[in-house]
Amino acid sequence: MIKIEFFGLYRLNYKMSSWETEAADVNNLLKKLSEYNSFYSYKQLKDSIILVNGKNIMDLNRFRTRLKEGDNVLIMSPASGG
Amino acid sequence: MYSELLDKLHSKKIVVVGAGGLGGNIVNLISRLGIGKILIFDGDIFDSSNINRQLYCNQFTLGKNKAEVAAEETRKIGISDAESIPDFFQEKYFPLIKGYDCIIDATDSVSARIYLEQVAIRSGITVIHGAINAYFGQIAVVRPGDKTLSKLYSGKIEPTRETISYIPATVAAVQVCQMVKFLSNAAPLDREEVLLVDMFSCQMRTIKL
Repeated sequence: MIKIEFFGLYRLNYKMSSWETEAADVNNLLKKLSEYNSFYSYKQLKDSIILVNGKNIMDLNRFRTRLKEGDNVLIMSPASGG
Repeated sequence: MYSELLDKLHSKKIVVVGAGGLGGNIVNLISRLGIGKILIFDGDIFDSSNINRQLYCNQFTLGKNKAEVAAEETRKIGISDAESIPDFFQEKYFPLIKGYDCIIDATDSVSARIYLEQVAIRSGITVIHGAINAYFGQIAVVRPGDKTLSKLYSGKIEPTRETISYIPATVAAVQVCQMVKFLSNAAPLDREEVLLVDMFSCQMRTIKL
């Protein structure tokens, strides 16, 4: 299983701080998440900051970043208020 | 050790951009640290919707400019010299920030923050970033040339939800902590590191963008 941890408004809107699933890559994971809980669409989820095992997917293979058993994914939405 | 730290801070000059929820708390904290000079920018005035979270908003300051009130309160404390510019930071104010030691980001929009990232490059001054939304916030130490804010705000950002008094106070305190650590070379956050604050679950963690 892959552990997904949420940070920021995702925690409030999903009413959970983490979730587990199986997914081949980040793209697949976001699709599964949007199907499991429709609060955020797949397109909206693609606007998140996403880290796989502490590394930004923009420095990996973006949404095609492969996932394997035991990986930790963090999905966060940055705050912008002051 | 504490007096050495205060001596160091006494020679420092700080720019605070924004004097609302984050900025009011930040000005209050740094004006009690013995910072030499504080320059505060805000073009906005206090209105009744600010009273739930903005430190300097009260029945006596409604309708007054936020930067002017913050500077006045700093002068009342009587430790730091304070100057206010009742306007939003923009191009024409670059000469005023020359020689300052850091800029504190207490703005309230993505565009203002992306602009501050550019200000850091042009001025060579480090920006101590902070932002809040509902129960959450983040803090970063943005050195000139860092892409922290461009990376944070690369996607479509969710609208800001209502927040409550202790959220800006908490994030402001962590920003001031990072400011002191930066000014005293005491292991501040690294380049493009972001400290995430979650007051819903009472958790903090650092990520690298």
